[in-house]
Amino acid sequence: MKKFALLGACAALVMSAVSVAPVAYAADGAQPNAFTDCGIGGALFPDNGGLAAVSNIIWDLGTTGLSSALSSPEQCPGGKAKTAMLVGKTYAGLEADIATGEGKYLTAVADVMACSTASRSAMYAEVRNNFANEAAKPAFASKNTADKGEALYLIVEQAGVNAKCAAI
Amino acid sequence: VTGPCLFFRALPVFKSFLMTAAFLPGLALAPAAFAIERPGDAPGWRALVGFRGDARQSDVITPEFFLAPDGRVNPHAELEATRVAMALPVGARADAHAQCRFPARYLWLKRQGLVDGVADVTCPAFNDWRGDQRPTGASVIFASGDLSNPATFYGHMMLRLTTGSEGHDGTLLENIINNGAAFPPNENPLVYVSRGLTGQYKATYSRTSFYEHVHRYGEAAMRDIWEYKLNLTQDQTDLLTAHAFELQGVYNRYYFLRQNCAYRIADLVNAATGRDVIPPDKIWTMPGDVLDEMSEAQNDGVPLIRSVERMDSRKSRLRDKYLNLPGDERARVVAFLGAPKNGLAPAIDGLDPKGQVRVTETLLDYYSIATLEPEKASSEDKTIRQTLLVARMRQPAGKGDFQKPPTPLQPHEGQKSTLTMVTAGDNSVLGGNLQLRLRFAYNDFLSVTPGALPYSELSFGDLRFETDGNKVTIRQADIIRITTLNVSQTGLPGDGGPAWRLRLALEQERLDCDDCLTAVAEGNVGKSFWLNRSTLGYVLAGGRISGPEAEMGDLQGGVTGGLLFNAGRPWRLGAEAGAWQSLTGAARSHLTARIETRIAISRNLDLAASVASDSFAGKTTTEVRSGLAIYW
Repeated sequence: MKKFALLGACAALVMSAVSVAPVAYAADGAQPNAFTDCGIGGALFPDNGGLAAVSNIIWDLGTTGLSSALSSPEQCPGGKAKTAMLVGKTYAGLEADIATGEGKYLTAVADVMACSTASRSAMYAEVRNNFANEAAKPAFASKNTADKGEALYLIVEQAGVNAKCAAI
Repeated sequence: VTGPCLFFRALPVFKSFLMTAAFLPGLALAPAAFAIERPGDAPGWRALVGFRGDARQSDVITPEFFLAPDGRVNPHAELEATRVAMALPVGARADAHAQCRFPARYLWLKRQGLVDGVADVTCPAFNDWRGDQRPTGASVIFASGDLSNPATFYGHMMLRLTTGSEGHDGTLLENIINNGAAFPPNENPLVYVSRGLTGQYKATYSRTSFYEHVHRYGEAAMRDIWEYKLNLTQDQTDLLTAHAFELQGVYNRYYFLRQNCAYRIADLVNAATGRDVIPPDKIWTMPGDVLDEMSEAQNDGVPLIRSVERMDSRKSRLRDKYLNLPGDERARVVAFLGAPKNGLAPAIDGLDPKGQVRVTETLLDYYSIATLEPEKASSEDKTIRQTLLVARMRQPAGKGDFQKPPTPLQPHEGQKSTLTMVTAGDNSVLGGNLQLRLRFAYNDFLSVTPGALPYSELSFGDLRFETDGNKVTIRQADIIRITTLNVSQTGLPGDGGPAWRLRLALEQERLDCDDCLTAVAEGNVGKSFWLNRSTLGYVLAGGRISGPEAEMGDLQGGVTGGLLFNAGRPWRLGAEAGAWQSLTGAARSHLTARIETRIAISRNLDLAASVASDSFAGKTTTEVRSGLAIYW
């Protein structure tokens, strides 16, 4: 009898397997604190509080179970914060695009910074060149993703400024 | 409805009418000409306020969603209360006005001529939520299934609001609408399962940027994403956008097997188009079934689906790149992986610039996957990846010149997820019989399911009943059977992983009996390998608990070997043999073998045939079967 009960419990476990995408547990109506979530990334990356305090961005990287309510763009208004979120959350894909010199993540970066069509090629080339220099540093391989993301963001931001992108 | 009932039902309508008359004597809010006797009965209105089909109660459980006191059970009262609220003066905060809280309702009422004379209110929150660009279309997004986690077995479904013009890819900054259960962090899995199955979670819609999901699924989870672009009119897109907004933070009850993500995304499509794309003949809702339904639906005289595109995961990109490299370059990749310390130069020297890019990009993808979890990756791999990354950035910009891979089957082009198989059999001991097999979902090795993990089977509720003309018996009832072969798709080191199987079932212990039903819990691990381009082999070793009173004893150990030939194609064949030894009580062994083939007559109809053999205590039994397999 116990075996049947065990089988039943296991079956229930597996039959529950229709996609369950968690969203914020908002039953209590609590709203994310924009300052905390955008200004103190250390709340999300406790080992990286210095970065958060300085750069005022989220370095979620999209790999944790962080709810979308906590990471929605409206919590982090402004072109720089939006760019930082994009860079941080898509670091791996963006890095691959930069290696190639084109791609959907790179396009999204130019879009979020509101770069003109004419300025994009030069902006991409600058990012690619400067990031190649950054990646060639011996310490790069051992950096954590948050640090790599910060370095990439600063390169992207500078390229956006140089390209006179409207939202950076 | 007669007498007092009708009177009480009419009360809210009467109350709304009085409120209208009191607040807005000058506005033309008299009932407009309407094809349906009461506009509250209109399917479009009912969909907007959460009444599915003929339901008497809205699916929405958030009280604030309803403006009429009995709005949850009375769509007519809700409509009247909404009409009144739409015409109220704007207060200190425009976003609190009904037009701003329920922009889809307002749009719908306006199109029906039910709020004529009411001035439009500007809604900052809605405009901000929608974004700078007005959505011009929508796509249903399907993240393919993955067996790493029970919550992802059947894939996930979302809805993308697109802003690009026809033929334009749009941008990753576009909004995507997600629906998911709300549960506390660190929920105990058993609590989570029991509450999910019994509807004790609430679910809501949320919006985020498309890039988050593309990256999460494609780069981190390495699951392919399929985009089903919908053929919507601008009016329908506007309604869909507005409805998605007014449902943010509005809760429904969540049931894992039915009212799940696929169900709620289908709800949005229904609200916009009037097309119900939830399969009517099933008690569960799976993303694959909804895609199937959508692929056959029409919208205003045109197919609901305009086109389907795949967004490759990084793993798929590596596979496609590597398998489509010219032979010499493929050999160079393999040689590099064998001796990476020699550096990149030997791998690309002598190649033209395009060849150098192809080899470098393939290797970079390989090491990017190898170092996906940096804390687990070796420092050697990280350093090699760094070298490759820098090398690629020093090469000319532009996508590598790779040969285009063959177009894969799209998820809706596979067979449907429920299987009914009728076969006639001849058993060397029991004689002739008829077998009815009903597999509720989702796939097995011989079904064609491009939206599922390749070379895997995920069957729940796989029942086989037999009759010899005198009685009906259960031959086998797999409550759940999951197998993933995790085969290396490139043959490169580190690609692929362990194969495994988990099975919980009731089954006749041997082929030669129909009164030896026993319960089985089985687990196996092993390895799969390619024998040639169309034949896959696998070996599994595992344990099995059987009972009660199984002749093989409570505990057994065994080895299973199998072959899959032409998987996913019109004619496919599978063979499997197992040798099991009892580990408790008397030493007994049980040998099994089975060969099965299915040949497609049409997409959802196969000819099926099998031969099975079973040897126990020196006695061998064989059984031959043939019949039809119908997928629905």
